[in-house]
Amino acid sequence: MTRRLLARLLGGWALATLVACVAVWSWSRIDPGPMPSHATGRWALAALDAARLGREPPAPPADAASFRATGPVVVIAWWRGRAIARHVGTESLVDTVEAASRAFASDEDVTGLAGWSLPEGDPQAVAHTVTVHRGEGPVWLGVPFVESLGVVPRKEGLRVTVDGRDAWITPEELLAQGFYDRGVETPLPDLSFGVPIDRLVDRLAREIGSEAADVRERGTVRRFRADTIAKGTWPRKVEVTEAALREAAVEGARFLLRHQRVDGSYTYIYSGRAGGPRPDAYNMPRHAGTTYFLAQVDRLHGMPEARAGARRALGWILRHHVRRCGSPESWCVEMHGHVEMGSSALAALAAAEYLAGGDDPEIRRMLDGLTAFMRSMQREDGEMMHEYDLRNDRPVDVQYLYYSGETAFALLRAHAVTGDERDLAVARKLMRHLTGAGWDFLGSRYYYGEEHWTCIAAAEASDRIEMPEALDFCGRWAAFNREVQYREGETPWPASGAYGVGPLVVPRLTPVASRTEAFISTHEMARRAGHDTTELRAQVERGLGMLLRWRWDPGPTHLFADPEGAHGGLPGSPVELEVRNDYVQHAASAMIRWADFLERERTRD
Amino acid sequence: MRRREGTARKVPRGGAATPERRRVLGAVDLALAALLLFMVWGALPARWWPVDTIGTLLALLLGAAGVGFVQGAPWARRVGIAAGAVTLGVGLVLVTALALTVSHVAGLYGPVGQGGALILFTVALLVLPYLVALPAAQLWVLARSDDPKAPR
Repeated sequence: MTRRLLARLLGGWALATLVACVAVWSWSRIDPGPMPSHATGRWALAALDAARLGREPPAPPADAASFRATGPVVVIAWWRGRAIARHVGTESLVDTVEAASRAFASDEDVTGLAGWSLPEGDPQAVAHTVTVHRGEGPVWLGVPFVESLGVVPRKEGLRVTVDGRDAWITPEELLAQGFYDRGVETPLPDLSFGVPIDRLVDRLAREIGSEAADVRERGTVRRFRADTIAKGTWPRKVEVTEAALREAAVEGARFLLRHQRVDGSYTYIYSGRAGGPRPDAYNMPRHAGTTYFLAQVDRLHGMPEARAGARRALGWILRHHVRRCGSPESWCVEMHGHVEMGSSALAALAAAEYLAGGDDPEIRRMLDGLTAFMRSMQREDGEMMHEYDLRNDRPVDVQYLYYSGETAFALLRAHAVTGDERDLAVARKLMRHLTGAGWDFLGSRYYYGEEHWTCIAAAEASDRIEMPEALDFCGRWAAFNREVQYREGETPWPASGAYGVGPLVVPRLTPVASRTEAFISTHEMARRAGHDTTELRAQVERGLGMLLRWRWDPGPTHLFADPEGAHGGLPGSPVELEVRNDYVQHAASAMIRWADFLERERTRD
Repeated sequence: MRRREGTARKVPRGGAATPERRRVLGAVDLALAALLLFMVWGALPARWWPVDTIGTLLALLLGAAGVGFVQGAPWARRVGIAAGAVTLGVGLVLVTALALTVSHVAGLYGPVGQGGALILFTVALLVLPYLVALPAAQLWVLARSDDPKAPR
């Protein structure tokens, strides 16, 4: 080998790789085809409803007849969250809608359903969706990981062709059947992504009487981009205003109350698909956090039914889960045989928030007991011990995510209500630890944990504790997050305001909610300190815009077993149909707090 | 600084590495061999025979070249060229595969964004120096000059 040959080899390789990259990029891309006008979309749904109710269908708008999709239009009839009939038509929307109307009306399995003849607007009536094909592209099969990313969630469906026969699955069906974010499972469920492409190919092959092996041998698998016309538009573009935030927060509270049991416990995970609870181990910190929000929405907005719900939830903790930890005055919260600081801290926080709206001797006693316990768990350096060993009656010096921040916030809220200086002293020492030495190491400017409770606590403390390092810490954390907050057009989804590091994983909504809560607190601290808050305010409102957009108002009602029961919920992500109680708690708490700020700002002006 | 007229270059040309250069090459090859063995058998969380086999063979080849260079063995240059060429080949294929994957995903999802760029950059940082730059440099040092008068 000579040097010239080596140089040529490397140069040739670089050029060939570059050309191949451009070719692969063009091959993978889909340039979306046209969508029908809004009028045509409305006509399609009205015509399908008219056929269902045996009425004369309305005449299509002038532009409808000439509309051609890039592939077949698919009409699906849904009832109680399930696809009960589907019609794969032609490129003509008008022809497909008319053909689907005839096909559904003549199918006794469909017309026999209770929802078939219910009037329009009835939440239990059969609903239709019209999916418009907008282009196709290849799927890169056989490469692990890459093949799971081969379908863009919520944007694309899958088409399998064998021997001239086609099977289709639309993005709505993939969402309804929970296929998104199931491709690559990780130990952290929040980090799962992609679609299980093998399962989907196998299933579609069976639909057309083939096997997955036939597809590999002589068939094709392609992805198709599609948009869906439906009554329940999700996401919905909503402007971030005081009124919109109040409405959303109140509907969030109503959602939680609707799914609260008589004994005061909540539905932990609500399944939109099933229209009821999904069985899962109950979580005490989230129970207490939800209760905190219910008490808060009453205090900031005036919602007596929410306060009553919070009282029931506190009563449930008192009746079933309060134990003595150490002295008789020291009360802690136990769940599944364990005493962890998070449960006690958030229960104390909920109790303090409840007492801020009015006195209640039983809850006051509970708060006194819980704060005594929290004070007894502090270490010399200010950090808290996060577990208590009930059997041996002694604290366990371990630390978990969130608990110290929650404890600081609970002690500060308790101090605001009871005026007990011991709570303030413990909180002061803890806050100094959390925002000072507790997060100071090589690289601490480039890496952060989930600090939402710390920064909420810092704002709560700012009128009582001189702590410039807390504002500095929370300001840095907010600035770090601004760098990873999506702007318009940075992901395939309308996800401006969400946080993430790339478009491959569908953004989660809970981090948006909890961080927005924290940035509202940071904004409050920064204003108080006279800092410029323009960027923080924009960051908060982008986050709130994301939450308002994706909350179920009314959400994808055709995918819900009980659309009224789901109203006001907020799922974990745009590809989920499940709501955990704290998803709503964090989002609605951020909303009501920012609405409260906007109101104060308005009335001051 | 201008070279004086009539002064012969002291730098040995293509393939005739000095003992110092051979020792440097040997040390680099041995370090790379150790790193590869550690990455394959220590750092990877799962066993997968294609990666295990290719990684181990590459490490053995580099190790042999390293020992040869350090000892000044007559066969060291040939083995060094073979090790450099194989490592470079693996590196080029890997970088191309990564680049094509990113192009595919960017075509699918639109802008890959900051995170994607960061991941690609990090992977490139990990792969390029060890599997492309170092073997290419080794081949450059060991390759014959294109000057037909250069020693062989």
